Amino acid sequence: MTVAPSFHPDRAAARTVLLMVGLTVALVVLMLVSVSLGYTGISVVDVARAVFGIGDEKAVIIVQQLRLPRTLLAVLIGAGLGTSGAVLQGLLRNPLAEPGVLGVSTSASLGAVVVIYFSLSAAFPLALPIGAMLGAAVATGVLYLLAARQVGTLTLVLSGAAISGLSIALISLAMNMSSNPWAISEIAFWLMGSVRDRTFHEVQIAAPFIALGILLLAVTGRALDGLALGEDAARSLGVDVTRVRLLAIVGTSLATGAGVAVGGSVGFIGLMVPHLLRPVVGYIPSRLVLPSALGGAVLTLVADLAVRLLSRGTELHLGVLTSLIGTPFFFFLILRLRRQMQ
Amino acid sequence: MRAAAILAAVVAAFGASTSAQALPRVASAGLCADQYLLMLADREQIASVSWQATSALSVYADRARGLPTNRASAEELISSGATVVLSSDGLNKPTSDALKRLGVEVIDLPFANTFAEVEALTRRIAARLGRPQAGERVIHDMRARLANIRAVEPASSWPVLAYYRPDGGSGGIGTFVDSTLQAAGYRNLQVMRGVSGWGALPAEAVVTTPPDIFGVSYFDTGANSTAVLRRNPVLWGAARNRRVVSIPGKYWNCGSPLLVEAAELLARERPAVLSERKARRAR
Repeated sequence: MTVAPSFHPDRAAARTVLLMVGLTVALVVLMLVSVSLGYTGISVVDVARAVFGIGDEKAVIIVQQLRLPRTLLAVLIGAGLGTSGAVLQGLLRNPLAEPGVLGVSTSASLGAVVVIYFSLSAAFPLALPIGAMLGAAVATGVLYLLAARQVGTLTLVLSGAAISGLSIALISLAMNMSSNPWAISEIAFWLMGSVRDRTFHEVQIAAPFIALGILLLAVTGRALDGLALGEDAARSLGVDVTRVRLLAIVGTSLATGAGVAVGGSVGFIGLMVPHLLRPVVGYIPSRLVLPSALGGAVLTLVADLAVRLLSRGTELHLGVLTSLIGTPFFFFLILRLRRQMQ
Repeated sequence: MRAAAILAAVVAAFGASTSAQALPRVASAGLCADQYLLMLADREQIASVSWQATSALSVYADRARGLPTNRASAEELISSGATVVLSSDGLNKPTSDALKRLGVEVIDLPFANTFAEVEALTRRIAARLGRPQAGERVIHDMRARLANIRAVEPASSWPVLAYYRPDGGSGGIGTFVDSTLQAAGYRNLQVMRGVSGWGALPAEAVVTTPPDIFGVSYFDTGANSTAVLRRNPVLWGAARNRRVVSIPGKYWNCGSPLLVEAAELLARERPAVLSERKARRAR
């Protein structure tokens, strides 16, 4: 055997299983920490009782109706972003593909801002998630058309920057033209991203769409392995390329858009997670999809816990923190990519 | 055992007799809401105030000390036992929605841009706090102090004031800044230009219509209040020949009865401004 041990397929498969178990355990532990940690000191014992509706009425409300939905939303949003990142990187055969970098998140924010600006959610409660998902779909569709023309990594990332720039310009226009100073702070929120003070109302809005999105993305797994060899090779292996594209675009739009609709723009999760996990699962795109869902949930929850621990006075927003961590990571990836190309 | 029971009964009776028992527990989110709450509420009924309430931008920082503070999270507001939350841009929409869903009454304070609106808002908040007399006292005091500084000359002869915020913005027609300037007996350069709202006052306007006085406000104690004038040589050249008065940002972070403090401060400068103008015209 000349294959390096770290790339041995069986070992990689075993490691993938181990990774999934490890991430699941970490996720459960983090969720318990997340429910115990908030803005008011409630002892762990009281938190445990409150989960089951026992004890002080205020503690029960805080744990059941504020901390629990916040935790669930961080997990859902992170899982959606992680999965989207893994599938987009596979589909576009581009290591820098990610909802944030490619402008999908910002475009979804624009969709949400349009709904807020024209007060559409008052008339139709689902207007906000639908607006955000449509925004995400437009960006993903444009990117895919570009990727189908075999443009390089650079063109794709620059197109993402252009989509992002245009979305921010239009959001700024809405803030500029808004006569109500409070609407400005409400709009600015979509650019910063947060899951603070969400209730099960928001979970109900986002969860079905994010879950469906992750499901559609997970179905693409096998086909991504074929696509890794190029589209023609994939077709010769019997992969329905058009169907895979459609699944990936709709899946990303649902998972990212619904997340943005309730939590605003949370960037770079989809970029970092697949890169951190890829060496472990052995560079097989299909094996990366589910671990990335778990990894995205873990990373987002860690970031949201950090936000709660770091905040004094004005709260640090979740999306601001992930961008602060993610941008240097992005920069590092660009430099590494440059070295590899040389 | 019996002694303990008697003690408990006495404590209960005493507790029931204090007025705060009947009053709703109220929290405030945002600097403006803090000021109204600290101005009008019974200390016992204050569930919590925002973390800014003890800052240098809070007139009632002393009163706020010792009270529980919040970072405008639903969790803290609920655990503080508030049944009513006054918000002035302090709560973001998800928090406000969450509170309403959990049965807490959220009152979003509107901008009060005239003294009539300030009175109406003061009455409304005082009524909700269960302390209408406290509201009437504040209004009575405000009216008396405003009457005391009212300018007697016709408005056309009032000195002209150019008002700048640190960001270069001003206060035009329909803003509480303009209401305050009028109350203190000044003509507002931005209003003379026919501009409404909070937009910028261009340096060109200062060149065309040199004001008699500059009013600047600082909303960050770290910043030099004249920095906005120093940034622009045209403005700084004009300001060096004129009186520049700094209005502490704590008096007008929103339209509240505290505006009268700003009006009095401006009115005190008025005799000097008028004599300086007279001297210039004699030249």
